[in-house]
Amino acid sequence: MHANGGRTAAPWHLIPHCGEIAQHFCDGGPVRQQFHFLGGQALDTTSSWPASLDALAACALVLVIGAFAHRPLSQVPENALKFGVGLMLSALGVFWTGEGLGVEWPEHDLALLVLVAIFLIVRLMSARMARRLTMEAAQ
Amino acid sequence: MSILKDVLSELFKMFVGDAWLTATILAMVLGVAALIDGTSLPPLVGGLLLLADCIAMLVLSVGREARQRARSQR
Repeated sequence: MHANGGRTAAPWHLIPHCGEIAQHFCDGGPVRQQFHFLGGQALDTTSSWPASLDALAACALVLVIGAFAHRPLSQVPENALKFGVGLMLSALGVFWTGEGLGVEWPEHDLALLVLVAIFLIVRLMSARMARRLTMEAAQ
Repeated sequence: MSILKDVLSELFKMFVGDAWLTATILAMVLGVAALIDGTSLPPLVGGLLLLADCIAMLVLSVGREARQRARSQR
């Protein structure tokens, strides 16, 4: 019997985790998660068809929002946009990779807000450090 | 044909923009997965370890990039 809920330690157990990472790299996980937040929780995600439709609906929703919001968004500086997207991907990536590994985050989805706050602080401090290093090199 | 090449190149950069970062993230996730699956480490501790590793990697990666840019400025 395995110490961890009867799960075996066979190496192929790691394969779904790799799939999870790939999913995050493809942004599918975060997009689906956003759709769930926007009211898609009722869909059954135990089979691949509803999950695929779920992702497709999320994609369509993002496209529609993008069509309406592209003008104001184009005024946001590119680096700030990248910073925000990177922040969300980091937080969602850790959250969903953890979920894939069987982690039950305290307060469930609300843990995402804590992850976003942690990554925001770390990223702001990292940006400051990078600026200081570059300025020191310039002097 | 060049458009296809550009698209493929952009897609590749999306996954492996920074080979060092990609490799360390993969190694870190596999390490945490092995710890959770292969030892009695509680999954939540594994999750916190994952978070700490990601933060460390983010800081190291930014520092590495900043130092490289600083060197190229000299």
